[in-house]
Amino acid sequence: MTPPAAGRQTGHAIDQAGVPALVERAKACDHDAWEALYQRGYPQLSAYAARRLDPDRARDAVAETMARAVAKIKMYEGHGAGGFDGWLFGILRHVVIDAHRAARRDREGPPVLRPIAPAGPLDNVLEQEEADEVRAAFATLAPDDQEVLELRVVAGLSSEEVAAVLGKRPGAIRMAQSRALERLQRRLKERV
Amino acid sequence: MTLTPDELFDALGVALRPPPVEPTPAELAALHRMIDERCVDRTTARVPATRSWMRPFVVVAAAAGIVVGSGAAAFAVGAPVPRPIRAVAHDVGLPVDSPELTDAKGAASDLRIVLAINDPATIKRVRARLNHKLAEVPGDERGQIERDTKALLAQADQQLRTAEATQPATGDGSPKGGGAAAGRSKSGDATSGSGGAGSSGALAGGSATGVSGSGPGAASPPGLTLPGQPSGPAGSVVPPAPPRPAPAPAPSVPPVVAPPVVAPPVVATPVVATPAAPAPVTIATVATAADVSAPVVSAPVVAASPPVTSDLAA
Repeated sequence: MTPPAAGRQTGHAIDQAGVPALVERAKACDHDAWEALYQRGYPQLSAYAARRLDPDRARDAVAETMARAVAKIKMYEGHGAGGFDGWLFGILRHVVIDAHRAARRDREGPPVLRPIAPAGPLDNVLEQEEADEVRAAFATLAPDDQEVLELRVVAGLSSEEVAAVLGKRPGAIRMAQSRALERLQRRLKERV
Repeated sequence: MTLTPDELFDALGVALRPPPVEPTPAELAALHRMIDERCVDRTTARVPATRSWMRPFVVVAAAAGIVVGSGAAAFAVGAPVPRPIRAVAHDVGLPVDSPELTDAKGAASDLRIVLAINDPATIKRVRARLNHKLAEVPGDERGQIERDTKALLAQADQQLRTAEATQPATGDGSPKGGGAAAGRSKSGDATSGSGGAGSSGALAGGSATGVSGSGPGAASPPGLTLPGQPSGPAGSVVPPAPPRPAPAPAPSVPPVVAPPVVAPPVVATPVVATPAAPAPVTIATVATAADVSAPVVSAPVVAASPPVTSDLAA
């Protein structure tokens, strides 16, 4: 199963091939390069954060992610399992975890995954209905299954990048993704 | 709804597609502020990094720093410098004695001590050790230490010659295990030599010679037998003489030591005389008993020899 291009459908005027050059310029503190990288990753980062935090905190989490990325860009080597997108998601995931810890200290409730809002009107009614069904079935999956599929589909990360973000082996991620899809398929059949 | 995995993946991508949002101008401005504050241009403000070819020099410099630092600290507090650090410090040219020179100085110090003790056997042994250590001293340091030890070695030779010259006249007080050498046991416990051939000579070689009044010869003094009394073999105890009627008690005799009625043969108990012990008191008592013509047999008196360090006796 090849990773879909769906995760890169929006907000990506710069494709993956142009990222390394942008990163090199960003290491030299090029403002334009940073802004391009920010705009490129902003939709995925915001969507991931908005599913786990309230809107205000989600925006803060994305801003904090970029702040940490600016501070630590010298440590990014640009090779290995995770690319720049995976590196950013790894930072965002830690920021979200920190936000959840802060919420626990403030006696807030346990973190819940928020429903995925439709991106916008689709071309036809059939496609719209099918997307609603998939979102509803997806919402019934376990949080771990949802996170793996989100990172693969929404963030557009490879299995290796997801493994780097979650701190697991790529093989385990592929296995988890396969099982999550099977469960999603079952839930879809149950809903029909 | 039945979908293949690929179709399901694509459908999931459409369903979960994030809304096309962009960072607000305020967020972009915050990003630029962060870049100005936190980002340091590697190309213009490079932090001096340690290059690979510099690493060996850094390691050597660090090691030298440790050696110099620890050595300086040891010198500052007067502590002895560990032998490895001393060796490295000497090799790198610091003003530190080599370990061999330090050993030679230690042997010279030992020889100075044993010369004061005047024990021929130990002098001979320590002198040999000093000569051995001197042979190991590097050439550039040997001149100084040889000048310093020349007088010591000469004095050692002188004392050894003197000891050899006096050896035939002293009989069994030869250095061969008897006499003072035997009295100076390794542990410094002089009492262990009581009754042996060396026990009588040991005290005489020490400082408590006022006991017998004999000469302080180091080899073998006459012992503690009083004048006029037969002197048995060294270390042997003379059997007591048959009891004789005691004469009238002299008024000067202390009643504690000499009973006024019967004067049995008085045998002095073994006395362990240390330099600080008031040994003459006991002997004076014996001498007083001799005034009443009772046979007096001196018991072996064992002297506690001056403490000899195990290093020297080794």
